Amino acid sequence: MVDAVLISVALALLLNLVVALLVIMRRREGDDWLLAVLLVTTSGAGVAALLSRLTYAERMIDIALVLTATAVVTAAVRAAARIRTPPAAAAGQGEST
Amino acid sequence: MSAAVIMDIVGALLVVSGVAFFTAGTVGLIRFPDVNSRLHALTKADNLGLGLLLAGVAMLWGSWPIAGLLLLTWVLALLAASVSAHLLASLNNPALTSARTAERARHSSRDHSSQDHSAQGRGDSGHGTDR
Repeated sequence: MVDAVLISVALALLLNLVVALLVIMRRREGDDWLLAVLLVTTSGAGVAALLSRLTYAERMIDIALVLTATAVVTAAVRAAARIRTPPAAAAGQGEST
Repeated sequence: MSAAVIMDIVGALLVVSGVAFFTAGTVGLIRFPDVNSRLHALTKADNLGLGLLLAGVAMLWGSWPIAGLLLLTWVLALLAASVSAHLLASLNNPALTSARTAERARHSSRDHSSQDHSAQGRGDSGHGTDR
C-alpha cells in the first residue's frame, strides 16, 4: 500500500518536472535557467528520496544530498560572478566615455 | 494498531501533502507572469513540499541517521533557494542594481581617497627626512 503511494508520488513529481522544464524551455527568457536549476534540484532530491525508500537503497539519499549541494555551489558561483561584475556591466548600461 | 503502522500512515500522508505543495509550486512557475512571482512560487512551495516529502520518507525509513541526512538535504536546498532568490531578485530589480552600483562607486572613491592620503603622507615624510 505504501509502495503504491510512493510510486504514484514519484510519477507525479517526474510529471511536474517534465512539464515545468518544457514550459521553461519554450519561454527562452534569460533568468529562467536558475529557476530550472532550483526545480531540478528539489524535484530530483524528492524523487531520489522516494526511490531510496522504494528500493531500500541508502545510496539514493546520498544522490539527493549531492544534488542539493551542487545547486548550492551553482548559486554561490553565480552570485560570486555577479559580485565581481563591473557596475556598468551589471547595470546593463555600458558608458562609452 | 502498532507504532510502525502509524508511522507508515503519517509518512505517507506527509509525502502526499509534500507532492501537493510541489504541484502548487509548479503551477505557479508555469502560470505566474514575471520572474519574481515565479521565483516566489518556486522557493516557497517547492521547498515546503520538499521538506514535507523528506520528513515523510524519514518517517517511513524509521532511522535517525537517515533522518539526519534528509534534514541536511533539506537545509542545503533551502540554502540554494535563498541564494538563488537573492540573486534573481537583484538581477530583476533596477532600483536595487542602481543602489548597489552607487554603493560600489562610493566604496571605490573612498578607497582611492584613502590611498591618496596615505601616498601623500609617505611623500611628506620622505620630504622631511630629505631635509
